[in-house]
Parts: sequence; structure tokens; C-alpha cells
Amino acid sequence: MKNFEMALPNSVDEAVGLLPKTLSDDRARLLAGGQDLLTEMKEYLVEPDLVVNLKSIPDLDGVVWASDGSLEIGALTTLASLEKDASIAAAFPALVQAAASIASPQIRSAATVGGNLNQRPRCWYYRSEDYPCLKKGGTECFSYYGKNRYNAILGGGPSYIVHPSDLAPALVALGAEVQLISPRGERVLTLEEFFVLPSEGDVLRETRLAADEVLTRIRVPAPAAGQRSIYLKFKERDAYDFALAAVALVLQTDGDKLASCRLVLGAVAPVPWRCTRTERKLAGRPLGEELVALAAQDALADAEPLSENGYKVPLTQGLIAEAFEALTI
Amino acid sequence: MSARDQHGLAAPHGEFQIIGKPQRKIDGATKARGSALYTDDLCLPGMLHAKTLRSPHAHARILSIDTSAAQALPGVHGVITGQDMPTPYGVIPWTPDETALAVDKVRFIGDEVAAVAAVDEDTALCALDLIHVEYELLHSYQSPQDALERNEPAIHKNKRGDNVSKRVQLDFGEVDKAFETSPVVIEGDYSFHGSTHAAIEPHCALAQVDGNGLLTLWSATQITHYVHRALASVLDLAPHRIRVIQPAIGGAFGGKSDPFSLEFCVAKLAQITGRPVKMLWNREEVFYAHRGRHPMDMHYRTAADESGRIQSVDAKILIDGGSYSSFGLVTTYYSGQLLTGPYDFPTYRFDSTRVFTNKPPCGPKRGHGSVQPRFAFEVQLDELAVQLGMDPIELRRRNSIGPQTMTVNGQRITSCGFDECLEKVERASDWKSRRGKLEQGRGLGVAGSMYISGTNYAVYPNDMPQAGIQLKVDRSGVVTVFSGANDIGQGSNSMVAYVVAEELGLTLDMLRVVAADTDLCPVDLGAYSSRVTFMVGNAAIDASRKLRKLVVSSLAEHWEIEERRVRLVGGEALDLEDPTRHMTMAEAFQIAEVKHDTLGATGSYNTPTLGGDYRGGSIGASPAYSFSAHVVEVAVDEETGHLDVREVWCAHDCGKALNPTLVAGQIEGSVYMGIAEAIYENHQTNRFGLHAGPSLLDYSMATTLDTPEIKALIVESLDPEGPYGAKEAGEGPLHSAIPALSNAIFDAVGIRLRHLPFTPEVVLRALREKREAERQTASPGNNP
Repeated sequence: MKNFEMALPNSVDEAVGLLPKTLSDDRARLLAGGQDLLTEMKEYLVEPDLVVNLKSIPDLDGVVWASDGSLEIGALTTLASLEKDASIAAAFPALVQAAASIASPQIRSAATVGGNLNQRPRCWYYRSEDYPCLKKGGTECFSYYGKNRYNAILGGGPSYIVHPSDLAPALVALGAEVQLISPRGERVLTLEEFFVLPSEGDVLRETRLAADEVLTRIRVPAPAAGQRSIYLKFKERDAYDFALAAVALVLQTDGDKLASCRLVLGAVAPVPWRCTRTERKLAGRPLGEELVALAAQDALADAEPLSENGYKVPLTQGLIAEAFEALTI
Repeated sequence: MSARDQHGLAAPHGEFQIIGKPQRKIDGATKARGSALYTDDLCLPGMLHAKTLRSPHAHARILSIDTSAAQALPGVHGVITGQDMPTPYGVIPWTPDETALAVDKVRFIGDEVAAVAAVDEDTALCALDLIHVEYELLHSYQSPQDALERNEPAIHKNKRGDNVSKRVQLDFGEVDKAFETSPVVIEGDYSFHGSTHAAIEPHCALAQVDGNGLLTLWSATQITHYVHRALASVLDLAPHRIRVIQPAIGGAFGGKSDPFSLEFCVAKLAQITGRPVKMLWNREEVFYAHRGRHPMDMHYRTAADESGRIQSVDAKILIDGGSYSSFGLVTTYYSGQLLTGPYDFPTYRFDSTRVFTNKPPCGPKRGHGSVQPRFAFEVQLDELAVQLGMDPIELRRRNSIGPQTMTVNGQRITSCGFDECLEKVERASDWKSRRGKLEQGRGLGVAGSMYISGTNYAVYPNDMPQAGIQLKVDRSGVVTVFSGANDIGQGSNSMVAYVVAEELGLTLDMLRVVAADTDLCPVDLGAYSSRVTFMVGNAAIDASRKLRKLVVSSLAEHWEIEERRVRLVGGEALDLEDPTRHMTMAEAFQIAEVKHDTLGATGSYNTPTLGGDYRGGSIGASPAYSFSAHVVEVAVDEETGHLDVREVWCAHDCGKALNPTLVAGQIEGSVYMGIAEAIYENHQTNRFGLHAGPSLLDYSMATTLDTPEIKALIVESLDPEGPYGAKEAGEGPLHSAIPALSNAIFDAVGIRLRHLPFTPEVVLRALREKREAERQTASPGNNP
């Protein structure tokens, strides 16, 4: 690892003041739990001169319930504390299930919510120092022709990474917003807007976070009456692993009908993949096997698998069916 | 075989005191407390740190190497390239095709090109960036088929001018006739993917040259003696000027049984710089060093009669060797020679070809060369059972070879507890009442196997003992055991302590074991081929009995009684017939020392002449064979392809279980490793030859969360030649776990998985193909 300086700012304003103004200037990096940044630095994928440690800033961790029932999560809140919070588990089961599914207990006790949302791809071409891949300023996404069993089946091109976050699909399904602070002030985006497809923006990045911006808080709106949620993650092994596919589902029923739902897929696209069309098709339909089959079929109707990852289609369909069955049958 | 190498099954004094009872490992506490010293824990004054420059190309000629900028970097003390040590070596002396650093060519991405010693690792890494290598790229062979079809450019020079590493064709009996006349023939293609050992400790070596010019190498190796020989040859140094020591080791599994580049590099750099030099490979480099399980494409035919009796087996195997020979000659033989038990078949043929490819070199991994064919054959036997409508356990029982027999290829089977293994797993898994009656998606599968307990093939031919033990007695009562064996965590140091304590009536705290130090210990050939307990255990009995004789005779004379009345037990010597007469072993040793002068003894073991009378007949010929049977219970999720291995019952015939706790540990570790490589692990490279994911995240291994319930069932068919009847337990219990899993999946959901690994996509695809096939047969068009 290259030598670097570490800054310990006392406030968010001080922190963003230390950051470069342009995205092309990568001399500085933000450090929270360090679970992603340190692995990148050890592999020489990033070699910052300055590491800005957000942990020295007070009040960026912990959760607060607002009077309207919404939940504010500080960006430095650890995954372990989220996972253990009984009141969150009661209001937003999918969020706690997602947090608990991540990595190992050791990693969860250091890793933060903000860091999880901002983590970089796990594609092995990206993570291998030897590959000048598209995500690192190269000209080619090697996974398109190469070993792509873990890569995207939806929303791919020109990069075919999958977003590795487990919290992101769950939070998008729950309608979360993120607070971003820069020297220009504060702005709020829905988490869904926060993530950006490689075809829509800068292929080097996965989010709309500006160079001198910090994600400080996540707000999860109060659950609607009768809202149920679930996060299902399929891993190759039971121990710490990234998902091969994941499903976050939030829904409300109206008698024996589905009133509305939000269906978001993880590990199948470069962003948490919201199935808006499917959600609309399903709303108002009677619960039961037909609805489950329609959900599974329609959500993957646009899938374009690469040479080795066609299996993700039936796998994700199986997970969608399991999620609907768990919440409605 | 001389009589001195057989010691009988009986305890030295009626009943065993230590042997056969659960004991702790003698190094368990130091390892658990973190005080055991591994190679990387060792630091010497003035020590330099070395790193390796590796090839970024799969196959290329080296045109030039410029190290001048690296040499000039402050903090750099030495830079070496292939020209500094051009002498080729190989663990098998017939195939010396490796050099410490690439001399003229690189043969895989990760091949070692240069090494730097500097004041610290960071400086060494900076210096690597300053080494300029000019390459001329060559066609890279990424599949064994390509390497068979094309000869130019050859990966290694050989007389034939091809890329074949080794081919073995052996015929036993009239195979073609058997296939013509047998009513049932099953034929199919099977494949085994690559997997690696991933021992928790990466390779590490430290070298020092002292003021007298004596070179000492500390290394995480499982073959101290062969490393000693290779160092002498490559460094052109007299062997008596070299000492090799293996400190505590964090696992090996066959992955540390070759001499490795870093051992030569630290030695050479220590010679050049005059300072101690250490090199620790990182995890990525361990994946390049590899020597893991060979991928194999296997075609099998089995002929049987209606009663299920096997008439013949015919195998054709293509082995992907990777870029160097390593143990490849042996691998190629083992792929065929070790299949001829635990079933008796009258005719057999195999044709195995190992080819070079431009990938990390394959070598021996737990169950060397025989896990892959065992997978294919045991799945094929399951297919035979289905075709005959026969219970697969009954089919195996019907073909069981039994004790005191000879296999079709001339291997002598002495003890054999295979029938008992089958019976144990059948009973423990409640096979008879549960099989076929489980809920949808759940199934049971069975498989059996056989493995060697050592081999009489020493890698360099010689008539000296294969294992040696030396005992030294202190007046305090302590006996120091000098053992050449490499304890790689399997517990060989503990095993020799148990044996010596049993024979001399000592308690385990009176034993010290000094092992795997070429200056201090007699030669042992190394921890491979499951040879150590059998051979070193016998050597320990041999040495102990010589020493005991001296002590007992001295005491008999001292007490003026007959020798038979003297007992050594629990740290004391006593007169069986006069309870007032007893003394500590320390006093007993002192009395013996007065009579016999300084006390000590040596012991050794050598194999009898074994094996069929044909070329290669001695490879795989073992003084004894172990036997295993597995039943696996699996639940298959038909929606996601997820395999949940619920429980594995493994019965293993290890002869006498010298320490049942360690035997159970070996069984559990073997089952874990087999199931993990069947489901999770895949050592693969991409089309350029670059390792797909040289990290423990991308190369996913099972952890405790993924490990099924394992029931270890010990079978003890006492072996007439093993130490107290013991055989091996470290490798055998891996083999049949994998085919038993495949057979269980068939029982659960009706898909026959003949190609490893069993990932979710493989399971989902097979399920889809099965549904499509069923739809076609069910559609009216196909229905007459």
C-alpha cells in the first residue's frame, strides 16, 4: 500500500473542503468503515495521497425515529447495529434482513451503511490490478467476452458489473432518500436516483455523488399501513459471500388483492434494478399463483444474459416467487 | 521386507495405555495459544525481505531482462534472475523441468522471473517495478485438447516434440472380450474441474548463511529431505553445507510437496547479500504456485453381468497438467493404478495422458490423482445399479474385493474393512428404511473407495530406509524423539510421541519431539502419499523396542529378577510380582545408563518389494490400503439450484486408530474438503491464462456455515504390517464423498451430474433439460 496522509475533520463542512473539485482528480478518498476502501488500496486499485476519515465527525452514526414514523440512518451507522435493532426489524424487515446477509460478523461490525451504498464493483476484472477494464479508465469491459457468470443480465452496457450492495435494493424498495452535502450545500435524492447506469452517466462511477460530496444520512419513509417487506439473497455458500441474485419486495394487500408493491432486484444489474413495469402490472391483481408467475416472468422479461450467466434468470425468478409466497401466502 | 519392519499388533504390555485412546495433540496448546512459531514468525538480525517478479504472459520467450534500475534503488541489496540459478530441478528426478526463476521462457501467468531482496517488502516491491523484461509472445495453450492437437511452440522440449507430459497405457486381461460378452455395459463422459489446497499459511522461506558458510533454510515445506537435495543441486553446494528446517506449518494438503522458487531465491539472495533473507508469498502468489488437483476429462466404460458383477473397466483420461511436471508422472499412473479396489474386477484397461498447458502447474492435492477417476467410476457404478434395478450398496457389496487378495493390476491387499464400511454407513444413515422414501427434493447417495498407505516408490531409487527415528534419553526421564517426518498438522509428531510413550511406559509430558530438521533428524521422505503413520510409526516402534530392551534388561539385573517381570508403565518401572519394588523412569534410565553407557536407539522402516511385474507396477503399490464408504444426504432446491448437503456419513477403515480423535478429525476434514470442492471451489483461468480470482473471496471455499453434519465412523481392520495394525486416514476419506453427493442428487431430483463442479447454474440447467425431456416423452406426438 502506498503511503498517504490521513485527515481527521471535525465536521462535514471541513471534510468536503478537503475533497477535490473534479471527479478526474482522485488524490483523496473518503474513509468510513474501511471495508471497501482498504481492500482497494491493498490491491493498488486506488492510491490516494489523502484519506479523509469521516469517523472523526460527531453525530454521523446512529438512527433516529422521526415523529411521523420515518427513520433517519446516519451514514456511519454500522451494519451490525442496524442488524440488531428490534424496532427497525419490526418496521422494515427487509432492511434488517439485508444488513444481516452481508459479509461476516467481523466485517459488519466495522462496515457502515454509507460505505455499503458507495462500495465499488466486485467484478474480478475490476478487482484485478492487471486488467485495464472500462471501470478503471480502460477501453473494454472484459466480462462481456470473458468470465461473466457473476455479471449483469439487466441494464448492462457498456459495463456489465453488478452493484454489490445488499442494502441498496432493500432501501430502494422501501423508498429511501439520501442526503448529500457539498460546499454548495445540501441536496436530497431518492436512493433510486442516486444510482446511475453505466449507459446513463460516467462509466467510472456507480452513483451521482459529486467529487466533493459526502453521503451523510439515509431517510426511510414511515411504513404504510399493512406494509410487509422481505429481502432474499442467494449466495453460492452460506458463509460470507456476495449475492448471485437478490430480491427486495415491499407490498401491501387489500383483502385478497395486491394493492401495490415495489420490487427491486440485486446483483443482476449495474444498479439496484427496480421493476417498475412489473409493479404496475401486478397492482390490483388477485393474490395467488398466477400473480407470482406473472411477477417472476415479467420482471425478467427484458433480461439479456451474457455467455455464462443465463442461470441468473431462472434463479432470480425462483427468488421472486419465494418472496411473493413468503409475503402473501 | 525384513522382519525388523514388522512389529505385530499387540501392545507392548498386555493392554494399550495410550494407543487407541483419545489424546491431545502434543502441539495443540501452543497452536491454540498462538505461541507456535511458523516460518514467518522467525526474524533474524539484519534480515532482508524478498519479493518475486512474475510473468504477465502465459507463454513467452524472455528476450532480455534489465535489472540495473532495480539494483540502483536505495535499500535494495540483491536482484537475481534465472541466469543466477539455471540448473533445472523437479520433485520427480526423471522430469526436471523447473528452474528457480525463468531462464529462457515463461510458461504461465505468475511464473517467477526475478527476485529482489531489500530492507523491507515495500522497497522490494518498488524494485520489481523497475525491472524491465522484454518478452516475445508465444501461442498460449489454454486447453489440454489444444495442447494435444498442436505441437508448436512446445511448452517444454522433449524428444517427441509434443506437449505430452506423460502417457500411461496399461492392459490387464482380455478387456475387449469382456465387453463383447457382458450383457450390461455402461458408458459415459465425466469431468473433474481444478481445485487448489488453500492452506491457511502461505508459502514462506527464510535463509541464512552463517560465518562458516553453512546455509540454513527454514521453510513451510512438507518434504524437507527433497528440498535439501534440490537446494544442493541448484545452488551447486555440497549437501553437508546445507541444513533445512520445517517450523510449525499452517496446513499443506499436498500444496507444499514440491521444491518452490522462493526456497532457492532466499538461499541465493542470502549467499549474495550475506544477510538473512525472508520471502513470504501473498495469497495471490499461492494461487499461482498452485500444484492443486488436476482437471481431468474421463471416459469410462464398465461391463457387468446381470447379477451386477463387474467384468471389466475401460478408462481413457485426459489430464490437464498445467505448465510443469511436478509429480505429474505419478499423477498419471495414480489416475489408473489406484482404481482397482475396493472392487474385484477380472479385466481392466486405462489410457491416461497428462499434457502441459500454460496455466498454473497442477500437482498433488489430498487424494493425489485418484479422486477424479474415483468420482467418475463411482457415479458410473450408480448408473449401473439403476440399470440393473439394484440397491447401489448391494451392488458394491457384491463386488467387494475382500482381505488377503490381489487386484487385477497386481496390488497386494492385506487388511480390508470395506464390507464393514458399507455396513456402517448403511446402518448409520438408516439407508434401508429411508432411501426412496424421503420428501421431494431430498436424496441419499453412496460411494466407496480405496487409497494407499504410502508407496514403495521412493522418488529417487535407493535401498535405504524410507523412514527413520532416533531416540535420545536424558537422566531427567525425558526422551527426545528425532523424527524426520513433516508434521503438516496431521499430527505426525504427536503420533511418534504416542508410540514411544506406549513402548517405554512414559507419560506424554516426558516426550520431546524434534522433527523435520535435516541436521538433527534421520531422513524421512516427506509427508505425501499417506505414508507417514505407517512408515514412521513402524520406525518409532523399532527404535523404542531397542531402547526398551536395554532398560528392561538393566532393571532385571538390578532387581535380580527375570525380564518378563519388569513393566514400564505410566512413567514408572515396576516389578510385576513385588509391589514394593518400583522406581521412576528417570531412575530406571540412570540404572540403564550405568550398564550400557549413554542411552539411545535408532529405528527405521522400509517397504517390502511390492507391485506388479511391469513398467510402473511399483507406482501405487502400497504396503497397505485404506478403505472408505460414504453416504450423503442432500436437499436440492429446484427453484434456485441450491444444494444443501444435510449430512455425510463416512466410514473409514484406517486399521488400528492410534488416536481416534485425530482419525475422526482427518475424516471430517476430508469430507469437508471433498464436498467444498464439489460445490464451491473452482480453480480456473480465463482465455488469456490469467487466474480468474486469486483471492479467498473469488475462490470461494466452504466455511463452518457451509459444512454439513459429518458422522465419522471408524473401522479398524488391523493391518498385519502397520504399526499396531494402523493404516492411513488423511486422504482416503475424501474420495467417495464427491461421487456420493452426485449420486444423492440423482436420488433427490433425477438429474445425473457427471461434470464438476455442481454450481447452481449446473443444477438449474440439468433440471431444465430433465423437464424438457419429460415434456417431449409426455407429448402426444411421441406417444404411440
